[in-house]
Amino acid sequence: MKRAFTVLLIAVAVMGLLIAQEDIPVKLTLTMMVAGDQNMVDFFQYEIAPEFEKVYPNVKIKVVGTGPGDAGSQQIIQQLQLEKDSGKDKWAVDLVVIHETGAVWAIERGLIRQYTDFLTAKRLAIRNTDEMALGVNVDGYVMPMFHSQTAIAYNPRFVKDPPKSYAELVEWVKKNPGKFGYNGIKGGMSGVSFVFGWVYYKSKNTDILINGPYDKKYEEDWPQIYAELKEFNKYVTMTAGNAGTLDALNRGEIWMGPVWVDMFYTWMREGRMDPNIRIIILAPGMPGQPMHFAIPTKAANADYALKLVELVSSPKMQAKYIVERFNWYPAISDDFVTPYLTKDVLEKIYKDVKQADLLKYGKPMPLLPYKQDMQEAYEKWVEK
Amino acid sequence: MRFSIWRITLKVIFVVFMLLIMIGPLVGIVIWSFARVWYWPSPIPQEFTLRYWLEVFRQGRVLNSLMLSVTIALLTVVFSITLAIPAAYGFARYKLPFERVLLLLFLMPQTFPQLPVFINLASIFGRMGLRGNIWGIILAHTMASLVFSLWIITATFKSIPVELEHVAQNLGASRFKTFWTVTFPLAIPGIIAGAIYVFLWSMGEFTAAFFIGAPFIQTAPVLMYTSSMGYNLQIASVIAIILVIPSLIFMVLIERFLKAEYIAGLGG
Amino acid sequence: MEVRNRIVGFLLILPAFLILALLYVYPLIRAIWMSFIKDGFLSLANYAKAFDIYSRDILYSVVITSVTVGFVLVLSILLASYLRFKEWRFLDIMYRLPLFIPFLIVGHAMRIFLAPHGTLNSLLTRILKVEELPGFSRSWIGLLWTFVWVMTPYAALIILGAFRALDSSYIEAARNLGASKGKIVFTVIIPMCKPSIMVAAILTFVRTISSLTILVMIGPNTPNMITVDMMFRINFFNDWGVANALGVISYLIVIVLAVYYLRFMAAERGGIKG
Repeated sequence: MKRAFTVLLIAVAVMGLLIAQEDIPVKLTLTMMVAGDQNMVDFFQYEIAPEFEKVYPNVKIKVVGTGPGDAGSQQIIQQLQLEKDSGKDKWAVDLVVIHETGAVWAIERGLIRQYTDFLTAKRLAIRNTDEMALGVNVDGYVMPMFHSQTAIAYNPRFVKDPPKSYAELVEWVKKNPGKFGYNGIKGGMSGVSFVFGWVYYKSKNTDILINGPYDKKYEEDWPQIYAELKEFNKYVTMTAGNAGTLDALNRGEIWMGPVWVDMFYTWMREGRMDPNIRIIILAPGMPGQPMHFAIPTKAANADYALKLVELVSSPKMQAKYIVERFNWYPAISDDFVTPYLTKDVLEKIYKDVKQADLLKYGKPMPLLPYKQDMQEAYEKWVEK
Repeated sequence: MRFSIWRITLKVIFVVFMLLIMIGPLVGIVIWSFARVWYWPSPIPQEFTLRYWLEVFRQGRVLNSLMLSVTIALLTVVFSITLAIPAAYGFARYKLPFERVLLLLFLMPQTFPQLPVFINLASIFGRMGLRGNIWGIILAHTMASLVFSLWIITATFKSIPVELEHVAQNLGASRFKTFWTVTFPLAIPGIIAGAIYVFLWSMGEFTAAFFIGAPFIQTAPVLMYTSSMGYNLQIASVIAIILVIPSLIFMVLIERFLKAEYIAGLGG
Repeated sequence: MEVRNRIVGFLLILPAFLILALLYVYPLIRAIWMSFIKDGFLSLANYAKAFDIYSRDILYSVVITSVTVGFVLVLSILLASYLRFKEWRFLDIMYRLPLFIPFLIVGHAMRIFLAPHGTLNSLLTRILKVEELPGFSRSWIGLLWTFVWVMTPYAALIILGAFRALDSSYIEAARNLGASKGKIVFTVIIPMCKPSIMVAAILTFVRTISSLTILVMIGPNTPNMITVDMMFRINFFNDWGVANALGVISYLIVIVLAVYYLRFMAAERGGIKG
């Protein structure tokens, strides 16, 4: 009896030790690389990191921003490739936030892993962006962080009756030369999206460009389309990047220009944007895209990375931060988010662009090969 | 000296013009650093704020990058001066073959196009694990700043009469002891001037810091660059002012050290 | 003794020299070597591509740089001539202001200053009572303006140094012969200071063509200078071959001038005037 008691005591002690050990988590740094403009970096550094570190005090989040556009994603891919080539068992990057293009590249090169099966929030995503990106199956590899949309921002001071379609915009720029500005295709995705929207508007094969299949024969009408864009560009100011367009709008240097809705609202919130400026989506539609969370194949702290994704994707956080604080469109269905939101907030983010407009005019990006062809075509036919 | 009204008017116009084009750009960044809301057509910001200046003192991106830059600059100074003192003494006191060519070789990193060297250095460092590492930046800065420390200290050593050393040696002091007790103390002002040059140059250096450090290491100039490119004009302006002020003070203080050769690379 | 001295002197400069060799000369040689490598083979493909895509940019770099040098020389000679004859503390300080400001900051300040609705135009439109003035940032005018702004003080410093070092007896002699100040500058001072003026010109050229930050801050989107193209090749395409080819091309442009530079520096008895 006594002996049994001793054994029990030892067992309890050992278990206690084990539990205690589990209770003392190792201090670690969770390194995440984020493509996109400064607003994205700020979001993680100043909003998400403190929230996360409150729940997991042993974790310190390090946010590394790589800049806007596909060039930002490209830098992340390069870094992951370096890690892979080094043959290390544990990569220094735990979590990445990338564009759709970046996600496709990363999957092709085996740089990110499948993880979303372990994610509760995955079931709340309703658009199919978590399954398909640019015509490639990305199911399991990515979880959207938020959805964004390009739109045309305009200053009602000068533009009383904004154009509602690409066709009307063409007329408008002729009457107001130099007052419409965009950033070409090298200075960030808002300009790229504007160009894609232009091709969607002119092309006979818009559906095929978005849904496939890929075949050069559907690009036959492009020379004409780009020649018209070149003509259009004569009446247009070239701005310096996504942020450059916003700044030029704020400074009254241009009256209209394509912007990312998320950046637009971030600027508005920080007071860096003339509060009178409004947005509108042109018919027949402009592209939008999500930013994706992905976890590198051999991330050292994949478990905490997953927890961070779970946190940001949860309805409460999506409501509080993505929608309320940053005025971005949520990654998960509105139905899950709305219970946490006041009517005011909802009205604010859908003030200019109504949910119906988003469904009607918010288009996906084209298939990856078409996308690359479109960008090259611009360099070949418009810039030269 | 005739005093005509035209002459004075002309002079006033010239002074105003000079102030506008020389000081104007700096005034612009000062205003932006305090702006919260500033949209056209208002000539000055609609709302002012100290928020961006407070970021300099608060834990965060701006403070971190400034501390990082100071650390890098201080370590660069230590390495650069330590390497330069013996070399400068060698150049000043010993007859060396190809002396001029060697001295000019040290000038190369500051006059020849730097970018190709820095990007290749970045790729070499990448394989050695020095990319995204402050030691990589410190090494690059030490190399490129050698010209300032070396040239200034060489000139200082040359200006110290060699007879002083001879006297000490005649009294039985060893060459090293002579250097340590006679030459070195006399050279301290020059060494300090060299150190300040190197420090300021390193603080403002962008190209090497960007290609070797970014995106993992964000020195103050790199953060300024990314902020300015992202039109975070306030943050960029605050950092710009902080980086400029010591340089301007320095310019006034050590006017007599101001020789064209030394500043070839400042700014670069 | 002589030999021993030389060895000691050599040992003293060795550490600094090693750093230079490892961190400067080696990457420099690597840059040249890599520019001839395409997919692991020796070839000229990188150069072909560089010229194919960027020939306009190469030309643009040379033109912008040359025009900058022209403006800088005229302005700095004017400044130096004035200050040679007359002390004016205000001007003396003003012209030197940009010397110590890092290029990156100059670029940022100019981008705010010269924007279409920047600080300069906000002021001018109010004084002149006009609605709108053209902005110069992101155009070649703004670029030129900024280059001249930062390069002039440096050239002026060199030229003024030479002007001041000139023995005043020549000037007195010319003056006694009844020459005006303008004439003295053109017939006496400038010819006698030619080497320094050349050095100023060459250094301005090299510094302009190798600058990167000013261009990214206020240069136009297209055309662009070689340095920006190099940055682009690496950041967007991870294409080191073409980037290095462009680097070598910029070296070749500079090397012609560097030869002159070395000769003049040798003639001037080098940069150390201890």
